[in-house]
Amino acid sequence: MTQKDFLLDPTLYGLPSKDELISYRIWDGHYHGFYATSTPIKQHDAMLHYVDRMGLERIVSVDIGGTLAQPLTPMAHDPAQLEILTKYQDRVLGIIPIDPGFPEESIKKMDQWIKNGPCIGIKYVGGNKLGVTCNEPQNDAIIEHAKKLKAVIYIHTWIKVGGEPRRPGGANLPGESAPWHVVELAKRFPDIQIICGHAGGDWELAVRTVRSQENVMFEFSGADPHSGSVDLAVKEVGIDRIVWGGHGPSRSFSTEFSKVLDADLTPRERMKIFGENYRKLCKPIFDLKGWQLKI
Amino acid sequence: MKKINRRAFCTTALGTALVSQVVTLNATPASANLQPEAPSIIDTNVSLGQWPFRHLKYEGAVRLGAKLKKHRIKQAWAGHYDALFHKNIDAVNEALVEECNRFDNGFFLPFGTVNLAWPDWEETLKRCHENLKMKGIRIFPSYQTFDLTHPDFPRFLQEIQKRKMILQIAGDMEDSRNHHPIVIPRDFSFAPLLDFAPKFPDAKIHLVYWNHRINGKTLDDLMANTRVKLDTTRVETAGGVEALLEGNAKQRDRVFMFGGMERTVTDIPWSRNAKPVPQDRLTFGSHAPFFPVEANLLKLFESDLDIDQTRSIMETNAQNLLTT
Repeated sequence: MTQKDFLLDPTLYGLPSKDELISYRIWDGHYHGFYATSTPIKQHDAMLHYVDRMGLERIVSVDIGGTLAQPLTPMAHDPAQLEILTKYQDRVLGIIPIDPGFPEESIKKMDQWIKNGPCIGIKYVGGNKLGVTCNEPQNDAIIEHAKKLKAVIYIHTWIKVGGEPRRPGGANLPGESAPWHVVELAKRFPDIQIICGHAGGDWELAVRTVRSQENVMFEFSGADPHSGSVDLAVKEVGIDRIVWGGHGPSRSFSTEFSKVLDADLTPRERMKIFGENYRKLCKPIFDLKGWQLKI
Repeated sequence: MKKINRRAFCTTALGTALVSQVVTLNATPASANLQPEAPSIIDTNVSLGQWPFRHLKYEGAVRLGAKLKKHRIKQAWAGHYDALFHKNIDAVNEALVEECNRFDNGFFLPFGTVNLAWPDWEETLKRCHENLKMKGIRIFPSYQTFDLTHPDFPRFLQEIQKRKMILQIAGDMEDSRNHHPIVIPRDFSFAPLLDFAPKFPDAKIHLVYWNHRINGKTLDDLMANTRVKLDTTRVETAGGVEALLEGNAKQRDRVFMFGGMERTVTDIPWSRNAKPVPQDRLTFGSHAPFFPVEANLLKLFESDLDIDQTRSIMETNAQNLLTT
């Protein structure tokens, strides 16, 4: 791939060239290509065009097995996902949604897809049937098992303003975790790293919440791009605790790239956020599976 | 310039022997190897002043102007954050002009505001046009506590039309889930424009950060029945700009390589508008300094646009709004 991939030269617009994007070795830790009710495989196929066009090295699907609404229910598209993860492992990785309301079933799914399958981690989704947030005790069995499997742990978090009285987090859905729930969980497991997803939706409050809990990683995908947000996160949690996600197709890669490009970072620092930090996070499970990984 | 269908290009120009080789959609055809002249950009949605809830990295005309210029932006249409809450908006409009003049004379075009919910908006509009020589007005109904069914709205449109000004209507300023808890911007819809805009066909109406206030059906109807224009500020989804321009019935085949396999995709399943938005309806809007200017710039590269579409969005459509 060369500069010719775009009609105009992006550098004339103060943007990175395609070659520069590729040089960052971008890993999308929040790929929603399969997140579609009736046509997940078709949507994934369409998304790959943009994955390729924008120079991503690898994508990590967060929708493997079942659906976000029914994470523990096998779906017709599961075999096709399994085939894609197996055949295209050098480009497509997967983590599985679990449901903390059902720890035993979640662990069973982890064994199926991670221990005995191609997946590398678990995802807590934005709400669940029984309204169990990630801080509650029944999560411990899931996290212990993830620790044993060396799995990546991604937790959707948001701080939705609302409720009575109106307050940050007051409009969160039942079971939708906030950053303070992640911190509570992370304190019980200080030797594992946990990703606080979406920067809590409200990065200014979220970064204050997680900054002192050093085993909490921070990820910005899925929210509007706010100038200055990554600068603050780097200042408060440090460059090594930030990972990147694309959240496509509901978000454009442009939106998610811009959060990093807006920040005052060196190319080396951009590279850490765009992929290196995530690669370090999943190196243990790669080693366990006997897969090669260049950090 | 018409888009080159890459399959047709391969068949006719390269001969069938090469067709079996995969031609990625990303690869520019040989005939287009010469870089077309890179257009400059008119940014139709920036703001000056201080965002009420935090200081922004590129706050103010001097810092923002320098930043925008680095990105080949030659002109920016600027509103003022004080327009959201201040009652003395005449003073806000005057301050906006002063702030615009602090940077590279003429780079920022001031778009003052009026508030239909408050007394004597007519005089404010008159001052904006006649005294401050503004080309346009930007209103913020969700903050200014009126909606487009306000009884004065038709008369306001009539005045806008008479004065040949541009009316920008901001749908949102930020994600409603992020608002400060004490702030509850009001809900409103752009749907009333379906009734009012055709009655004032020469009123230049431009929607910015509009996406949360328009569903797919209303968007289709607005494009079919009015001359309303849109900005790119909150056009989301992968390849969102081309999905918007080409609608859900995308005809072009996409052939590309992934993981050693040739793949073909014929549509964008996540596109929500059924009908294409004509390319002369979309302008570049960054929403800077709240959003990084890079977000909307990159969208024009992420989407596979031809040079005509690119130039229209970057420059021509905004220019036409100003001059026609």
